[in-house]
Amino acid sequence: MTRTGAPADHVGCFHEAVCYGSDEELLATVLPFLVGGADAKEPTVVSLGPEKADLVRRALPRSAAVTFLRGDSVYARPAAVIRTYRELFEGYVADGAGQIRIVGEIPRPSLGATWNWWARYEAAINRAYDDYPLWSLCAYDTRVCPSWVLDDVASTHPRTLHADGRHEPSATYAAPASFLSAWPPLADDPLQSLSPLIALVDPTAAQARHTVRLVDSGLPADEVEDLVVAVSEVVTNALRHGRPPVRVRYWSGADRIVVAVTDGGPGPADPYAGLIPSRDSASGGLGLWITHQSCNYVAFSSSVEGFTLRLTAGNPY
Amino acid sequence: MLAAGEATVVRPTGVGRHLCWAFTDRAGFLDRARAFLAEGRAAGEQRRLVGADLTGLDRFPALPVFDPAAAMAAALAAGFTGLRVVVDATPLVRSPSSRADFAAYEHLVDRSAADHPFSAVVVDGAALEFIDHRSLLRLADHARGRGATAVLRTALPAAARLADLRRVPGVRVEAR
Repeated sequence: MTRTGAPADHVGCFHEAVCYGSDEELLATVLPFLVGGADAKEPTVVSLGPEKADLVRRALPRSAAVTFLRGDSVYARPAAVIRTYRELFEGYVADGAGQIRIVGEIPRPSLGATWNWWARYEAAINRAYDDYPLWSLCAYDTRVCPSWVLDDVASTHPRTLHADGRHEPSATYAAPASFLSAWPPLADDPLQSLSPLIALVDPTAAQARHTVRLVDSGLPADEVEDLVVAVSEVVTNALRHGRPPVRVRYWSGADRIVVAVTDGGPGPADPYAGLIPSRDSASGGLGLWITHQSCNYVAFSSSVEGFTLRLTAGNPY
Repeated sequence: MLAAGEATVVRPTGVGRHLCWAFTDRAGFLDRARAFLAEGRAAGEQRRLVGADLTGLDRFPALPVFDPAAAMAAALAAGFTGLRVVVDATPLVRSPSSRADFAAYEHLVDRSAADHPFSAVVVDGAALEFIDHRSLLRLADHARGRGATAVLRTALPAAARLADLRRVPGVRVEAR
């Protein structure tokens, strides 16, 4: 099978960022990419929010065979996106695709408090999608992206595509494993400025689960039950693979529950833990992957006191 | 085996299925086979192709020969919920002598399907307060050891989501 365009001689995922400052610049960059894919009869996919999708749809020739996915639904949680896309790509390859083209954009609300796990997503997909002949364009609107987001975009995309057709290597691109293992300090959830409602030391997984229900102030039952599953997995991992003491702290606000689990160990050895499911259930990687599927935000941090996983049900801050 | 059009062989247990597609349009046959395999994939079954002309129908290579009983045992041992096989039997019916082999082979497949009825171990989860992925896997292993699918009946929504998330083969969660 042959590949067309810039990745013609590339094997695996060809991952590019498109940092655009206007709708015209976005169209000038992605339209030739989409039309080229459709002309070459390659599966060609757009995962943008409704406004940008309309913009692109109107500008495309009516005959161009391009599949539109709802970007705001696709980009719900990073681990879920990876699974969804891998299954999509698997199907295209099974149908004989020589290359798959996709333009996606992480929705604007995810460029704020939960950006860190999306930055980890962008780093992880360099490996997670490398099994497929994928040409992926990740769009970022420089009018709304904070500077730290653009810094992470440059660190996680090996190259950028520009409106004049230039493909430029990123000078600050970091190997995914090193980016993912860095665990930079993260801002606390504002609830964490208060003392936790409950703090447990070396609890059993059952005690840690029970306490989630005690601090719930009325979140939807499904969200609470998903957090119960996540807390169970993380505490089990900390007890099995971390170092004592295992401290579990709980905060609750009107729209969310925050649980921080800290142990004295160095954190997961697998840099992709949580984003790509581990086949080895003994390593704890599977529990972390389930946690990433069950919470609205999972933050990793490392400090002198050990490794902390912060889980949020409800609205993350 | 029923030899015309598409038909399902009815078993006393209603489980083992052996279909025959008589075709003159190869593209139509391949479309039906693809849909048949996709159905098996969704059900957690192992898929196999037998017959040189089927290479390319799915992602795995077609096998030249096939032992139904051994393949079924291997599929169950590997954690699949069953086995779904597409065989291109056309070369076996081109001459009178090969047709005898074909009849013997079809009988073997019929008997294998009948000898491996799938049953279910039903678990009443009315009092269940929590289940994690490890327990679901253990449940599936327990049922699989008895050649069955585990059916967990529980009001816990997280159980169904976990089973779906992990796509645990050999276990099905039903709301009660």
